Amino acid sequence: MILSNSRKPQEFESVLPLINVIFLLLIFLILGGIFTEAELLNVHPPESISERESQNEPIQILVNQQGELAHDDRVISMNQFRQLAQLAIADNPDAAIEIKADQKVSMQKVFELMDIVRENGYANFQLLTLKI
Amino acid sequence: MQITADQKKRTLISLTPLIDVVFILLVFFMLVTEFAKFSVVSLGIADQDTVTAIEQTSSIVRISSNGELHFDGREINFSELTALARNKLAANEKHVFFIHPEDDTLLQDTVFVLDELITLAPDNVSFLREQGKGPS
Repeated sequence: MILSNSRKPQEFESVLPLINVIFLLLIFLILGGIFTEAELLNVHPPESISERESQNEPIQILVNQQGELAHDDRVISMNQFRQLAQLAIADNPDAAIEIKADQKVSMQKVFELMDIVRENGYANFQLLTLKI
Repeated sequence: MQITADQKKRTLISLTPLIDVVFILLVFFMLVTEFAKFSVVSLGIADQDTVTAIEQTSSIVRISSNGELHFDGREINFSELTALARNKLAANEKHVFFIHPEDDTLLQDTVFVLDELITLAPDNVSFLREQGKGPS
């Protein structure tokens, strides 16, 4: 009888590390989710060996495999992108336009965007890539 | 009397394993975890005037829609690209490389070529488009 009483707390204590680990993993996953923000379009950027860091707060445009554009959590058309570029250069001529395009998007789409950027006098056109 | 003594024993749980696990996991994740690291590649399109002016000291790397490479009109594989570019730069350090992707060429194929050439000649790489396309 005494043996059975003393065994119960030991069993409970042996489960504690497991509970700890589960809680810690849960906290980690919850916090880790902050780093990867959900994006409107599904985009897998191309891989590159480039070491250049992304600039702070550039104008970022998402381009998915189908060539759809998105900015600030809304899908935009090419005309809206043109207007956005015009407004951005009026606001800050040194601002960078950063394109986060899917690795399988056609170069035609990339060139179209580059043309619009150039039309508006931007020289700072950057392509976001994933470091290999 | 005996009941209260048992309750006291149950509340005394050692915190040592908890602290151990917390520290081990902390160190583990700090060392192992890697979040996606982004970098940027600057892109520029050459003006037609620039192309004409440096025509004699330039090479065109054409990338077809299926990823095949042509260096100055000759079909090459990706591993040959670096050697060819090095040879051109050895002959003339100001040699310019124009990357000429087709409209259907994938961005990833273009970035691979861009990476190779930018590593060798950071200031001498530009994109080239067919005449009549774009503002150039």
